[in-house]
Amino acid sequence: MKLKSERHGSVVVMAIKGKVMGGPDATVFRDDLKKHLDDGVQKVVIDLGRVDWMNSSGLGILIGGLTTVKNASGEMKLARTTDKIKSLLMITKLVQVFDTYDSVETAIASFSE
Amino acid sequence: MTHTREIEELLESLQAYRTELATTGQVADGAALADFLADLKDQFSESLLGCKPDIEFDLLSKSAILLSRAVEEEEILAAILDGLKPVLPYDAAGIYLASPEVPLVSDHDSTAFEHSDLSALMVRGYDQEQQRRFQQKFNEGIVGWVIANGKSLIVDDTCQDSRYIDLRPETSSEIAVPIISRDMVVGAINLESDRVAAFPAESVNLLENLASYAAVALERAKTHHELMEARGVERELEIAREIQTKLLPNDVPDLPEYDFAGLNVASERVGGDYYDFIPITEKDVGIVVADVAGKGFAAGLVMASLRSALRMRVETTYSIRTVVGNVNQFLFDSTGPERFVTAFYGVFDSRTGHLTYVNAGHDPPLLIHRDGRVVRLMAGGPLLGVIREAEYCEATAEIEPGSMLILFTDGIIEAGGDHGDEFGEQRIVDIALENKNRSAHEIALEIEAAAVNYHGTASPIDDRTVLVVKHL
Repeated sequence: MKLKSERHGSVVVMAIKGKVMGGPDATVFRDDLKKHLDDGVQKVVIDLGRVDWMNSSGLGILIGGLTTVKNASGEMKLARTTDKIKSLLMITKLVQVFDTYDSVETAIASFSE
Repeated sequence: MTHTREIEELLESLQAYRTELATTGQVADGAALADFLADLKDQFSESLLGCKPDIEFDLLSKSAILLSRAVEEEEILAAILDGLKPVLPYDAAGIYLASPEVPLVSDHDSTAFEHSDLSALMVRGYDQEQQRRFQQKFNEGIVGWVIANGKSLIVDDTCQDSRYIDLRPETSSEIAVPIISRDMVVGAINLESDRVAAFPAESVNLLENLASYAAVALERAKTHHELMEARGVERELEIAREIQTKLLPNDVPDLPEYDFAGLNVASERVGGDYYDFIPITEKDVGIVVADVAGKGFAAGLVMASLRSALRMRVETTYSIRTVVGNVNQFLFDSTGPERFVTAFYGVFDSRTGHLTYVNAGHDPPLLIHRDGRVVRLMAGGPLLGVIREAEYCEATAEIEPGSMLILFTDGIIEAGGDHGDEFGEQRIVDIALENKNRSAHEIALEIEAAAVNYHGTASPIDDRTVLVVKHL
């Protein structure tokens, strides 16, 4: 898994690339996310467009992320969820828990609604 | 030569140290230490500083003996600083660690150090405020120079040296030597004095010798910690494996007209797969398959508490959705947000073939009818342990004569997914249909073996669990 963060105004877009399988990936993601929250960021978009594969442990990263952001009174949205991730969200019935968007732009725009 | 006996003791303890290294499989710099001590034996009659051979020998031998035992690096570093004081009187001193290590450079322009942080491992004589300021600044000062250049330095008058940063006002002279291990600068030792020119040129030699002890101590401490960590993990996995094996049922239900099978194969890393057949009445049986996110001991513990939470509630509550809802709240309250469980729980009535179930975010079990039609048992609610107020609904399915219910965990369906296409549902259905005239146990074995074969050896495979219920 590779992780890259970019700032768009008050929104931080965290782009995840490669295979997401929990374990050490979870720590990397959590540390980066905590850093943004410590910096006062409250709007986070997770760009999943370049995720090759994610298993259910990898899904834990997103669940943990959502909880962390919510506890910091922030909001987290998912952008460009792949078919595999959509299927995971469907099976685990977390579709309603995550706000998902087809593009990073619409995810960023959704914060100002 | 007045210290022959002591030196022999020293060498003996060194031998013991090397034997210990060999038996524990550690790779520390024992050979270098042996060479150093052999040299010491030859040249010891001529003191490094010439004036205090007894104290100096005492200091060096104490460091070596400490090193020969399994002690924490702090103890060795403290012994070095405290032992130094009578030999080279100082007013403040410290041993620092560079992270990451800095390669030894031949020229004076080391840029590698700019990316390295220093941390104080052991200090003497600085007050708290000085230590705090030092922590922020010392990679710029004399210690920083010594680490960047891999060379020792004596500053007789700190007022006259531009490299010196005034953090301790009383300091008038300073000496610092690099701690070098396998051509990398791993840290530094520095001493400060309130007197001008307190450190004679010869003291570099003594300090550099002590720095080589510090290097071995740091290296050994690192290897030792890594070894302990590996051992801890191994033991943890052993316990987790035990838990997992003990919690799975020994027998399958014995009900006329039905054939049950349960199969679990733990991966090397040990995950949190769980399945159970819970007797409810003579004719009703609870069927559970669950997967705890994560690996190792923690996953094993969650699995154990899931099992007891579930079994306890099944005894007192008839409603399946209430049981699942309660277990969800229990897991939410007792685990962190990244620890979740996907589970399928159903109660099967063998008199009618009715299965009443709740699917809590688990890969849907596949009900394969006699005519090949497949029904995915999806209904229920979100996975367990994440949303406290989650609601669960019940659904029913009929296991008619000639049909099969296949339950599994993601180790089966996601096999191969980390390096290609997943094993997937269709392969499970195909194998079940190809083998429909064989026993439930044989079908489970076929599915598991096919998943393992499909996954290949490119990467470690997850735990695999397969349950088969056949209506004969």
